[in-house]
Amino acid sequence: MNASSKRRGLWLVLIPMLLWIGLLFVLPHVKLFYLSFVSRRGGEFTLANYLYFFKNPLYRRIFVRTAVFSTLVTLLTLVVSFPLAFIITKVAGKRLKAMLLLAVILPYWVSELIQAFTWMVLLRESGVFSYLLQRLGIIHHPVEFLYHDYTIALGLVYTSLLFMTIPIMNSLDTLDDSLIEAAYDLGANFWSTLREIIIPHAAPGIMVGSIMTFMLNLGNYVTVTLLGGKNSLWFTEIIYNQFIIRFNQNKGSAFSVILLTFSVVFVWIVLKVTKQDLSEAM
Amino acid sequence: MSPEIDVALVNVTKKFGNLVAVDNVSFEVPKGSFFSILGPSGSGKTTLLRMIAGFEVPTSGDIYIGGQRVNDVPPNKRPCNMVFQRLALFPMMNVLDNVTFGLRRRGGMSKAEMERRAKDALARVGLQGLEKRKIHQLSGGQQQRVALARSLVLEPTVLLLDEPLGSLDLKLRQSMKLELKHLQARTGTTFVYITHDQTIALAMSDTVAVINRGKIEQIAPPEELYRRPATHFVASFVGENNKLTGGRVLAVRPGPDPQVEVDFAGLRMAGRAGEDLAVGDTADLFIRPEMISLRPGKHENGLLGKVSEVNFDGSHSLVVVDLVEAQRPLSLNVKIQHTEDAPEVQPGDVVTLSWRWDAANAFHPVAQPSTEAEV
Amino acid sequence: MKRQFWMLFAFVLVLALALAACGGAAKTPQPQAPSSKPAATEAPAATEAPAQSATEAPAAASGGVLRMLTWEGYAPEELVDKFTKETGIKVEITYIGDNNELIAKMAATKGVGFDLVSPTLNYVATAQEQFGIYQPIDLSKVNKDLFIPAYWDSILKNSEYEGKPYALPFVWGTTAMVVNLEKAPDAGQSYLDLCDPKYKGRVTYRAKYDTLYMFAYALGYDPAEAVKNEDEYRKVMNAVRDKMIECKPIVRTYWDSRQQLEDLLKNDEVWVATSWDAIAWTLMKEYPNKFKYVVPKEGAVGWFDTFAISAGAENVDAAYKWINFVMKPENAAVIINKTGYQTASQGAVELASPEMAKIVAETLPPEKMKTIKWYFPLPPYAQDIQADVLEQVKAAESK
Repeated sequence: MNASSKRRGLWLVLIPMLLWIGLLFVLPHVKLFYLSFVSRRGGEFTLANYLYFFKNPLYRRIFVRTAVFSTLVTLLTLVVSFPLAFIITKVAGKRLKAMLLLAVILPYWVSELIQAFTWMVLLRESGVFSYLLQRLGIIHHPVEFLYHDYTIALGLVYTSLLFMTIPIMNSLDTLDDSLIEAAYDLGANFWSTLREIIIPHAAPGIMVGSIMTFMLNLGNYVTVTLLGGKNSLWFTEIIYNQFIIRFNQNKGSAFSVILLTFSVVFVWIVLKVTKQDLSEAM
Repeated sequence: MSPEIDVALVNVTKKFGNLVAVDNVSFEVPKGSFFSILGPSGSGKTTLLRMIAGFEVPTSGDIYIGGQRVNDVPPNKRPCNMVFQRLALFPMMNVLDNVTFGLRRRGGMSKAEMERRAKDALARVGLQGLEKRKIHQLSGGQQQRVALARSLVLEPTVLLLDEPLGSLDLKLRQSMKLELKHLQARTGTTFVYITHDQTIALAMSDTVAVINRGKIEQIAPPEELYRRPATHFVASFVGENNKLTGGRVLAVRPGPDPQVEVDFAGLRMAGRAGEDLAVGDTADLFIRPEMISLRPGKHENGLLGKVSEVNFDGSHSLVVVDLVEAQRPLSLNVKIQHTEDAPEVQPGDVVTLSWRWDAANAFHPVAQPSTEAEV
Repeated sequence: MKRQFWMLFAFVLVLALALAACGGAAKTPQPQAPSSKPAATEAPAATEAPAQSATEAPAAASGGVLRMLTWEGYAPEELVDKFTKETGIKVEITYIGDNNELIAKMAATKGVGFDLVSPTLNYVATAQEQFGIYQPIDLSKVNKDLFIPAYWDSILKNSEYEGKPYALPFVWGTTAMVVNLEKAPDAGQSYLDLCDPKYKGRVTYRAKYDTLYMFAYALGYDPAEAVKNEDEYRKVMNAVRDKMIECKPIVRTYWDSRQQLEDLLKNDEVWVATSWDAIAWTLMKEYPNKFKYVVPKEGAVGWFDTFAISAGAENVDAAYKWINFVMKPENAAVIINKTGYQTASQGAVELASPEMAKIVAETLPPEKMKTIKWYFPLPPYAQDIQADVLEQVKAAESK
């Protein structure tokens, strides 16, 4: 009796979560999957929605661009986050640590939209950056920093910094400082210690952070559109267009499933290649 | 600098803010010797070792290794290696990769040669055949040996050991203790070993430096340390002792080893003056329990006592004797070896205690006896 | 430490999801929020929630709640407060940035969750045919005297589907060009000025339908005619596409929001732009000597936004009350003054500020009014053709 009441209690605790996952995650995906395999009119089974994507060179190109760009930005985020996480966990004193942590978390107190607008104020031709560089004599006429690929990269790195930094911090936290000292003591320099001791130890955190960052980049819409300007077409916008502009839920669903499948497969391959186990990494 | 000196510290001081962790320390470690730094926790011994390794920079003073001043040499360039307290083995590598790590950093050697040397080092610590094991698959003692092999394979001028036996259980610690000593003798490498465990320091070392509150109290071979402590702290920290406090010096007989007589509660006790004492000074007296001879019955030349407790402890017994002629309650612990002609005593027996004068050491009392020292 | 981080992290994540979910459920029962996850494009659970609460709402409050789906500036806070004070009806507004967005939102629930919407005229009858998201206008509930008769007749007629009118006139406007008189005083003769290398990097327009029409007219086509035939329309739009790709090095960026356009112009980053008249007019009011709304020789593109009643409306009476309220001249004048939009309200212009009236008369005189090219209804294939063209233009590489 005790055991069964305990079990009932467990179910009671789980119900909100199951409802959440079921209603907001599983159900929409099932519907998405179903829609992607039926025709727009008539509703019979068809592969046309997928073929439409694969036959269209424009969509393929945008898809590849989105995927490659997301990967590069993920690497860039890693390059920025890793030293940051290292400084926060291993180097900084209490006060600096709190400040840096706050600096990483603070941007998430405002929406992504506001983040993007803030970047626009800073980076536009008549913006703060251009002005400061002119005052410092580095540039001699106003320069537009917006609407470039690197602007998109900057915005994306910014929006995903937290999701990369926290998991890496988490894994670096468990790294015994004496391992680093031992490596030094045995003749290692900074780079070999980083390569052989610190990075292997932080690998699970790097993995989790990279997966989250990659997914966020791949699915981004706001930052890319606002900061990218005229050359910013992202695959999510293609999906948006299918649903909203063309009222074509079926093609939109097919495109969504393609994006989803790609990201899952990509992550799986990366995990295999780096010999990481997701359950271990998490 | 004599070439026979591997490590030398000259007036080394280390401050952390206002805290003086190491206070004007100087010593020399001869080549091939086993040198221990013994002190309670917080005494500054770890800081001292980390300065030799290069992880801390002295506030003032110089450090020499192999005759070279190394103050400005980073840890990865110093001809010494360290065995860490928590071993700091690399969990992401197997045993062999751990041991070859330093060789790989050094370079200029074929892979086969590195492996040969690593296997050699592993054989020396008795770990043949475990090259491919993961670190977490090893026992505590095996990990200990990997840590040693990892440092020894680099053939350092000096091996620094930061209390690496501390985490082992008692049995293992006893056997590793001997093994370490043998290893040091075999390789001829200079060992600098820090510990708070005096039994380890005494058993293994050629020379022991006792450190307290950042200052060196005494540097001496273990036996001298034991028999002729230089300070009140050393006397109370090293070995077991009967400590009598608040006596009055009655007589001083000068000489190379000045002899004193001290009055404790109306009893005259002889001892060696560990430092300058004058008639009328207050003094504490330390007497080793095993140096007191116990005779049953009442005798001349000795202190009359009555046995209050007998604690059997295998090879010996610890007997607590109340000194019946003292003006206030006073008792001494006496250790009796269970030899063939050892006296048999029972609680309530009347006994007479005596000791050679130089078996006891007298010092001025210290203002604040270090609490750690009584552990 | 480790646990703290994860707990903090989990907390932030849950909070973010919760906020997103609440926001989605309460305000925008729609399947297409441009969220970071494509999965969110389908959320039937979220779309059903407001429907339920809507059925309970009328019983709860005396005046009830009016749910509007409209454009920014069409329901100024000043008017909303006044309306609530007069009628006791609370107003909830969801803003849209695009007619397709409006239709997608409505179509997802067959209009449930909204009472009153403001689609552009050419989207009324076609959307009704495809999705059945509106209900016919009950003319007995509308005070016809509030409307300018010409607009009244035209809109009722043009929104007819199966013989019933589906929309009432509300706000109209034009899209033409705004130029910086200091930097590019000669610009604005033709929409092709948007391609003039003289203004390289100093041009902006929207990557939206209105720009396609402008280029089509400028290239000598008549898209309103061509749209009746799919092949013909594709030909015209492909020509537009080629021109736009050719001109891509000239354009600085495609503007998306009123704020963005104003920032670009005010900071001198852009000298020549396409603009809604209202945006240009408010800029002219602020900087009389710097900006000018210019209608090029091809004529302005005109649009008429309407009132339409949702097929799933829960509070139809409140919707009509709002229409009769907001079309009163003194109320419509508030919209004119605040946003520069012209309304179909009889007598509102006379009540609006004389300054604005003067600007309007200057930049859109009767002879220019005659050249207005009105938005035309789009058959489904036209939507796809236009979307194709815009995607191809945006995907084209350019420095």
